[in-house]
Amino acid sequence: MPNPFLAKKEYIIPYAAVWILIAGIHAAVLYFFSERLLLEASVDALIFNIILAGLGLSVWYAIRYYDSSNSTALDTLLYHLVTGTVALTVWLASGYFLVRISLPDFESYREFLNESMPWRGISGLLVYSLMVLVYYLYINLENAKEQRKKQDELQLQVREAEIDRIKAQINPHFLFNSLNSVSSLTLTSPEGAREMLVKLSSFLRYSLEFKENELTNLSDELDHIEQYLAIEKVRFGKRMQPDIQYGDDCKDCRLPNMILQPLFENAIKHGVYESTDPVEIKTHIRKEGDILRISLFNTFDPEAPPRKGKGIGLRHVANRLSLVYQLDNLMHVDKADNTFTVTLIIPQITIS
Amino acid sequence: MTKYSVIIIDDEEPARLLIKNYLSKHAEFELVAECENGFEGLKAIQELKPDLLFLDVQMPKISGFELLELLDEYPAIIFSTAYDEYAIKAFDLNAVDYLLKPYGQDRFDKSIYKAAQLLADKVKFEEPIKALIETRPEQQPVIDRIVVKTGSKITVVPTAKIQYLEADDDYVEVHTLDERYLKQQTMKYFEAHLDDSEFIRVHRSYIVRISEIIQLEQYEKDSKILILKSGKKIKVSKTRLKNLKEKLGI
Repeated sequence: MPNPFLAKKEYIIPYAAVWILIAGIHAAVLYFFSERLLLEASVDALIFNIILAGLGLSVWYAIRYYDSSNSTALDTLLYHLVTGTVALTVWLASGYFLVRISLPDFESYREFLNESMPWRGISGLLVYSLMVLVYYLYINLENAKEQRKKQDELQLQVREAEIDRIKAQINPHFLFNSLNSVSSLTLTSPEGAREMLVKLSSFLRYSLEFKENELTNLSDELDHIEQYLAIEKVRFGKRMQPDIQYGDDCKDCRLPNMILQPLFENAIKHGVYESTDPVEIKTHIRKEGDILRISLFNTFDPEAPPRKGKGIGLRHVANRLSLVYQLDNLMHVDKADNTFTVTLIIPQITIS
Repeated sequence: MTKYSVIIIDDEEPARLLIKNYLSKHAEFELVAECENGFEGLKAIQELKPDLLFLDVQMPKISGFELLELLDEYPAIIFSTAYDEYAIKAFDLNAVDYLLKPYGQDRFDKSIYKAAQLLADKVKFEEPIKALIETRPEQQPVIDRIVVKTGSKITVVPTAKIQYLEADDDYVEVHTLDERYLKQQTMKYFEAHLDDSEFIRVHRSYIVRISEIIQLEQYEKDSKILILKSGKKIKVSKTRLKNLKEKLGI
């Protein structure tokens, strides 16, 4: 933060005006009440107040230099007592010296100046304290402003992420194509249409309730996946051959919710979308000590050129895993011949 | 009454079923084939020469748009897709209509009336005006594959395999390491749609993969040639030399 009085025109002008006023009063008091010569009064007021105005500005640097964030109030007070004393001593000494060389007849003024020194010290102390207060107030206001700005930005980011997330979870093409299938089913199998709508609704409900850091049971996740696959099965028929295998000891394992759906969506997008032959989507889930290992294999047409946008859904999964578990390398991807494999390693140790 | 023949190309069975059902309300249209991918579709179009086509965009092997690129004659086309982002492109291709899934009988009927009107007026469904597509590079910013037809064989060439392109009258020769394909397209189109961090146009007749370049040589007094990894020599035009040097960082 730069010195507010020097950085901003709207501050430096009032600051200068106040000091001109003070210097004026200073001179007037000496001239009218103490009955000093006009020359003496003006020189005294000019010299002492210009220096003090300068010191007032430099108090800023004393404050900025001193990091009060991890010191006690007493420390801060002591610090300002020391810097204040030094500053005032410099002020009084230099003022005295300058007045002495500026006045042609200093001897007649010396006694008055000596006597007024304690008063000058006290008024200087007041000015110093006032400046310290003003600066602290300014810093606090600026910090609060900054903080509010940061908070607003953060909130905006969170909201944007949320929207992105919802968009990513519920692919609009999936939704519209599924609705089109429902529409078609009403002709051939009203019952099937009803069933599909129910599945689609539960799928949407689960997706919308999703929270970034929430863990869920594998069995819930698999229910959700089964709904998803059942919906896609209506669209793709024989072209999609899913198969999920898991041990009974896996059912209660915990994992971030909605972590599996993007994997299946990816398998469908790059496998089923691009192939005219049936595409197998095999899932093996095993518990191995402290980890749950989830592997998804899908066949794909090796001749179909890779489509654009590949990997965004998967990257999102990897990012979430590293965020939730604070560990990297929890997702592995392998592409060989005509099989694409994604493996997730989900730690089962309770996270604090 | 002459009936108009119709082909449905959609990879999802329920979607085809729905179109079939909507279509059955219109006696003047007759379904002659339904196909579940672009390859089948292309074959059926060439054999049956339908009057009207219902076409999905996203399909295995080749997309609806890629399929159209391979046609010599155009039927009337009604797109039927869940993707709204291709609508402008579809109309650039003189499509009769663009149906967004899911749609109802009402919306379907509107399209079919429009198609019937155009067919009755014997409107010729021309090959898409390529110039129009060229002026809209934003419609398909970067292509990642090219679909070509050699006789009856269709090949999907990933752009990653292309070494260079050479203009040849109305065609562009697409050269990969071991093959050469002919594509009816303009150099301007490829210049606009190939990734310009990978490819550069160095001559009126040549677009080259940058990473294939191994040497830039003086040819005659004031002309240069490029030498590719394969040994192929390619002319560089004077006007494009500066741009090439910038890309190569020399």
